[in-house]
Amino acid sequence: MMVPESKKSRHAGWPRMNLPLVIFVIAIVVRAVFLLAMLFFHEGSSPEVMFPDTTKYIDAADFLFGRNETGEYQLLLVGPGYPVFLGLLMTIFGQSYSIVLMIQIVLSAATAACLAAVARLLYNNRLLAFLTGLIAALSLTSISLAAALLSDTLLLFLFVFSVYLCFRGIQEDRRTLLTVAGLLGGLSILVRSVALFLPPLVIIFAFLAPASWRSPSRRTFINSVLVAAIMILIPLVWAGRNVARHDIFTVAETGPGAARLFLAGKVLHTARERPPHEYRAFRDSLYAATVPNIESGRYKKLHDETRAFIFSTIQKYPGLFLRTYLATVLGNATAISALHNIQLPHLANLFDRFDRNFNPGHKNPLILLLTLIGSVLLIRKNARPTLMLLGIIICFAAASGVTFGQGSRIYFPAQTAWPIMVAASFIFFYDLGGLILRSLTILAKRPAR
Amino acid sequence: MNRPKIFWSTFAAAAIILIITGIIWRQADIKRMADENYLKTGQLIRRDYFENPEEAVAEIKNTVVDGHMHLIDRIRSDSKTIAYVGSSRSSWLLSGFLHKITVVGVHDLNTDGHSTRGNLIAVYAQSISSRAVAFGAIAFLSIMTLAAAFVKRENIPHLFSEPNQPCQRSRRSK
Repeated sequence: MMVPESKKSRHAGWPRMNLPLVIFVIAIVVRAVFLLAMLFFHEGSSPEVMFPDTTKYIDAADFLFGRNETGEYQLLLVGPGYPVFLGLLMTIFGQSYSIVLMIQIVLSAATAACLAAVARLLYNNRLLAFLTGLIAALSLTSISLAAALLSDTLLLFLFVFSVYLCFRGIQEDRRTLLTVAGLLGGLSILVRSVALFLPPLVIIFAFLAPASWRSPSRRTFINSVLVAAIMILIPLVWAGRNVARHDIFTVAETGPGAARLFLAGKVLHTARERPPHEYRAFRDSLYAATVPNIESGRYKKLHDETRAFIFSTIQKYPGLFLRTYLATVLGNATAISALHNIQLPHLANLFDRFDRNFNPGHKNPLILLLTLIGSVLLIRKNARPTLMLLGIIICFAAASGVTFGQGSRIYFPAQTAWPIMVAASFIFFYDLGGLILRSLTILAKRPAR
Repeated sequence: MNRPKIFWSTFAAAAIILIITGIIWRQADIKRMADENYLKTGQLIRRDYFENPEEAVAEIKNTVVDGHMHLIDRIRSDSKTIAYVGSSRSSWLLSGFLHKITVVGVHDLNTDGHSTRGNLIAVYAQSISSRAVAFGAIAFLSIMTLAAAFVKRENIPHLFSEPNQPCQRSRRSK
């Protein structure tokens, strides 16, 4: 059995400490301060009405736990994962959303700590692991999402732990870890169907596992297929329920719905050469066309129409569709957090001034660039795990292309991997700075001829 | 050629290519804004009858153009239309957006001090995302990726040193 790093080993300058614990403490303090600032100083509405999607989750939770009759469509839309989480907590603690947010900040902090553990497991470098955890702990998107009644924090928690256990399970050849990884991965799909690409990724992980990890390759492959099967079986139960109830084979309808209104809508709007400022009204008109089917409960008809709408748009404007899709992916990958503007309105002027100077149009490609530079460095260090991480990023980026207009939230699940690459870039810049300084010092000391 | 020479030659070539590309890119970006049709994507922000069109155009330039953008170019496509193209910041490279203000008159827009009659003037505003950010990003990425790929491992000790070894600088750099 391979042990990732000797307990006695230490990196020079980095005293032995429990890295995940340190990261957890930093992350939880930052999130707690943010949450307190939001709850005490928020002059506007309460957490449950801050974001439009929150209402959907609450309606779905109430429907699932028999507290209303109107959340059927919302449940079909968002899937059961987050509504069950919300509903259970509300059943235990009553209608107190603050408790939910407190639990979310613990999950978010645990995710940051787990990311540090993933970095250490893959690259065996304490500084890289510490910086990875720190970046995740201080990520404004992560902090603001932890204080919002949205599914993103729970999704990332389940996804990151599933990936970590999967890596450890393959490395140590332990089926118990792999089974738990499968369960967590399956649950993450129930929270957000975007995680559906995890099962095929797990099988790719088995092929990309570094040679030093590998148990007999056939066994690794069989293990990964078993994990993927567990991950698929859990959401399959829910998809079966949707077939029985609505005659629709789906885990959640959010993705296709967003692809219809946002991506296909944008393509049609661009094809008609209408001014950009009229897009919102056009999108609203597309949504209005779906309302009769929603209100009368004809979900199957809506489901079929949505797919037909998307496919007909692709057939009619294939080139424009592809261009719009790629532009949307790029837009999401470079979007910066905007939720904190709503959560902390008393600091809106400060955020606005900062964004105007550094993030024009709420976009900044810096993280994407650092991710790419970091991936080059990490490929040089250890190519196989880097390809695994790039696989995760590419899948989430590809999935984000169906929708836009929600800031950095859409691309947020890619935080499973990019902090590791950004941390590698920071280390590189630090060492490169040192190298340049040393070179300049040597040049300055060289006697003139 | 030894490794440092290859590195510095590649680096210098990349820098020259990026500077030339940047100049071409800037011109293309400004042309892209200038070519945008104000009737299709423009927002009508003002429409008034002016007794003295000459003064009106000057006032529009002072308030709408100079107040909201850094002027790059003034385009007179015909006698009734004047377009002002500018960027959101004084340097194109730091601008997130390009703006165009188009002033259209029913009659000729005489700005040479010989206006004789009143004119109905409409002002249209347009904005597009500047490609300066994209250029800056590609330039930064190219240079840094080259550095990340070519700098020796021993010069990046905090990333490449083994966990049981202390960070060591390369012998050459000591």
